[in-house]
Amino acid sequence: MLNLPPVDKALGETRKALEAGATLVSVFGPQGAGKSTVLTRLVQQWPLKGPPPILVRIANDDDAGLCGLGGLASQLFAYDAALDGAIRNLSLSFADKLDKVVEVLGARQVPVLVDAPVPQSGDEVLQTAFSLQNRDLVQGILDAGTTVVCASSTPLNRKGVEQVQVVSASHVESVLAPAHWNGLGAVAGQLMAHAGELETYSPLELRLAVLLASQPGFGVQRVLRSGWRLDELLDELFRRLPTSEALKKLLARLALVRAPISEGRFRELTKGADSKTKKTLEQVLLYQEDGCWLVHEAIAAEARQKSWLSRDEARQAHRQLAEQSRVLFKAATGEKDLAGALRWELETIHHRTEAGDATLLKDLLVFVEQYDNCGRRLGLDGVALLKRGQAKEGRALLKLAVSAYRRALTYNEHDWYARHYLAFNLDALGEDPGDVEQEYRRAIDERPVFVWSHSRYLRFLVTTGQLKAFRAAWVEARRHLLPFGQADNPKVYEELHCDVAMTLLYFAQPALARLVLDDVPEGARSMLRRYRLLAQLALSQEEALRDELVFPPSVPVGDRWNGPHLLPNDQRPKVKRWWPGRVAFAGAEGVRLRSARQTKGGPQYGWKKLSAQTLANLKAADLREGTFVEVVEEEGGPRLLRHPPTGDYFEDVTPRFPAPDRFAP
Amino acid sequence: MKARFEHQPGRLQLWLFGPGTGELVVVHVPPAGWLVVDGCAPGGESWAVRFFEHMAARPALRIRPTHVLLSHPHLDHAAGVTELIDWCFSQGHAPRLAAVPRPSTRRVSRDDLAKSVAAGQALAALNAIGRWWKRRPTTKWPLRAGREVRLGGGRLWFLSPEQAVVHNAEKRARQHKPVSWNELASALLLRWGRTRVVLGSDLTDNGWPAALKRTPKGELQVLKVAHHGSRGAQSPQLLARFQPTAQFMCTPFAREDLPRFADAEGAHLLLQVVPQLHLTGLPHAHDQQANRPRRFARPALAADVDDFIADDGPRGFPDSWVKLCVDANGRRTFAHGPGSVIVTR
Repeated sequence: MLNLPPVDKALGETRKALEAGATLVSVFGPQGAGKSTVLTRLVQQWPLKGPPPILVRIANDDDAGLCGLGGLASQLFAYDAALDGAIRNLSLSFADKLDKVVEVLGARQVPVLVDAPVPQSGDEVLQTAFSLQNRDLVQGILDAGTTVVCASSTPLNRKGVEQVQVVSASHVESVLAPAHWNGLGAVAGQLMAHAGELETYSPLELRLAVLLASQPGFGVQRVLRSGWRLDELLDELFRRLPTSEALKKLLARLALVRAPISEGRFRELTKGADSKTKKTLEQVLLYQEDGCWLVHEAIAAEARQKSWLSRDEARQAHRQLAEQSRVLFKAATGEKDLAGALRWELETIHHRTEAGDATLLKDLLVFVEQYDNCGRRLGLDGVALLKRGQAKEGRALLKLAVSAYRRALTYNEHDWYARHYLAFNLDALGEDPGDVEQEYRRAIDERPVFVWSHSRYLRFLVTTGQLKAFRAAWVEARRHLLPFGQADNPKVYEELHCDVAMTLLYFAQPALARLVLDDVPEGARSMLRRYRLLAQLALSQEEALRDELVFPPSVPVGDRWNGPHLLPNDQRPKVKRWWPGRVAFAGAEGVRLRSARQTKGGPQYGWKKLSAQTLANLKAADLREGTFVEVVEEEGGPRLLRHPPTGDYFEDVTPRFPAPDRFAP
Repeated sequence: MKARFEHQPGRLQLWLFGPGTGELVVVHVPPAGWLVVDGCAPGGESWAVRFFEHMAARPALRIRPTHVLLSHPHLDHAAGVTELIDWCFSQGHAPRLAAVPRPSTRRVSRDDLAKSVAAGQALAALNAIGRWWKRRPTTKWPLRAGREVRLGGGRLWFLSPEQAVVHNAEKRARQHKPVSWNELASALLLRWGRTRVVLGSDLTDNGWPAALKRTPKGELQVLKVAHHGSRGAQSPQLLARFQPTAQFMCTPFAREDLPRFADAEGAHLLLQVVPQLHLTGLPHAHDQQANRPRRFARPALAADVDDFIADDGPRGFPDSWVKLCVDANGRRTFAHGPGSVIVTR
């Protein structure tokens, strides 16, 4: 069985800081270092008198903030029985409920241990409602005026904070002690001989290294040479393990369980798995805490990011977990365990949401914002179906998502997130454009500093041909999102400028696209993946509108007359003259070329006809419209070079969703 | 010349713009009918918007589009239509809008960017029309062959496309097969008093027999020539309905070198019916049109029309236009803008 990370030093330092009167301690360290373990141990070894501490874990799911607040509140029912009613009151928003919880925390001076990522600052306009809930929850706890210990991967920067770093070389020996490795002790021992090289490895990475080194044809040396870290170790491990696919899916299903898994539940969830798989899980991939099993967050994150489960598999797993949570919720209710009932109810709602259970919309939930989560899940599933060509089913889910957001708005008309997604889903459905426009406007009014509202509204305006309104909305978006003219985070330019320019170019509005692209500061342009492509396309479209499109976008403007481009460099010296052209029209009688020549006053454009006979002589009988050609004159006579048809598309500038023709008759 | 461009109340007037790429038809039928068919936007500027902004200088005349038609979602015909619709509604005008079905969803091709640009303009115009149909259903002008609508004191009929042709095109588009959008072009017949005008859009030859069945019997007087005078669009049955006293108006399409002037080509076929052809320009880019009206005999243009590229450049809006004016007695007069060309036999 896997040991908890050795965190005695960090635990000791934290206790010492608290005993010395610190009211805010930041426990930080890399992924898998044992920060969560410090907090778990701290609950058992709390050094101060007064109320015992409350441990709050904020996960990575969309409802993490809601469930975090619910979990925190449930542990305060003993101090304030009215809190249960307040938390379940749907007419109160998340912010209202947080205020009430913070009030109890401050009044009763209940210490809180928060296991959460540190809220990031500086990218306000990119924050979603969910990330803001997480941020506000952590902020609320920190501001409650009680003692707080916060575990996160980066240190908390705040006045008066005591910082404790969780790093220790000693954990290598502790984790690799051969006695802990039933059957793999020899490999662990060999790795231990290189303890010095493994100091920066987290306990979880060490465990993965042991398992990987034990695979046939691998060995300790190869693992050490590779320098692989967590995600690479996992990838390689799953490539090597004979039952890796089954193990991966089982692990991913376990990772969906957010509460510690009791032995009984663990047996139920791993029913059907072979003994080897179970052994690998228990020995390397899971860890135990207070007799319960847990999947490390780092592994859970990998499972999410790399979609170890298909959407159908995930839906099925969530359905099963929802049923199990419902049983536990009923049991807690029967036992009048209000705190347990609230926690399991939140888990039930979470799993039903993730299962895409639309019947949730008929139920009274705990947080009004849970309807937002439900809408998001239904919307995502709908989009996935639409992308797979299942239009009817996809649209049905988008309509359910609309219902979810409308339900959220009946309780809280200021729910900007619901307002935004109501607009977006109506937009994606190609519903009444008046409604779409009104909802986008209201979403912007509710939260003017949300980049997606502006970006999607601007794209809606372009798509529906409202170009005057677009100009006004662009000025407004810049005023709200870039009040100082520049964004701190280049991602704002991706989400706003590049996305909007892409839609403008799709609808052949290069002048407006240029207006948008020129707004990106020169220093930021190289950081944007699509910028160069979009700028080139804008230029080419402007040329096409003036009937001056000759050169392909792949030839930079400054390089255009350094041709011929279709001839290898070593053959260029033999060329006496050359001129570029583009096939404007191809018919049985020949082709009509748009040609260009360089003059002192700049390029001049003309038309050239090449008869079918001339084309045959030039061995170019099958020229297609749009082909870029170069006619070069050499010793042996003229030659026509053609750019081979690529069948290529500007994939990056073709909007995939919502369908660009959704409003067309 | 400028005076002849201006609006003359009480007369049927037809302005035809064609700067080399794009075709814009504006028709006034007294007392208050204003029809716009398709568009052009040299340099990205909608000439339909320019036209109505220009006319708005005389607000008392209440000159505003009452009907807008995108005759087919093809290449140059959609340029500037989105801007016109946007302009109309931003001015508080709510014209009736008509369009043929949408093209299939496209991708932006690196190989033939010009076509991608044109398809983008067409889709934008269709979305703009679709938006207003949903938002204000009274703007919907159902486009069905044989349907008649009142336009000012005149009558307008859709001659094409046939429903079967539309359904077939939709099916092919859904299957991502090539669609000939010209077959879907909406040709129109306008009747005002004794004057009958055919606006041919880009309807090609195989669409004309059905279209002509819907055309009332009797002489036709004015033809906006179909598909830039291409040979394939000049239906003998249609041309047979015109007398030598009729007037033919045509726009060029530079990219496809239309109309062509050699023997047996489109211009030749047209000039076998009427003594002269009123062209808005030659098949050149806008900046290669002349800054004055010109006149050529067809044989002179037959060898190579590119020999007649002008080096004085266009004047800017309004240029590349011809205008037909019909008074209450049916008397027809023409005006020719800079860049336009009269081609004689």
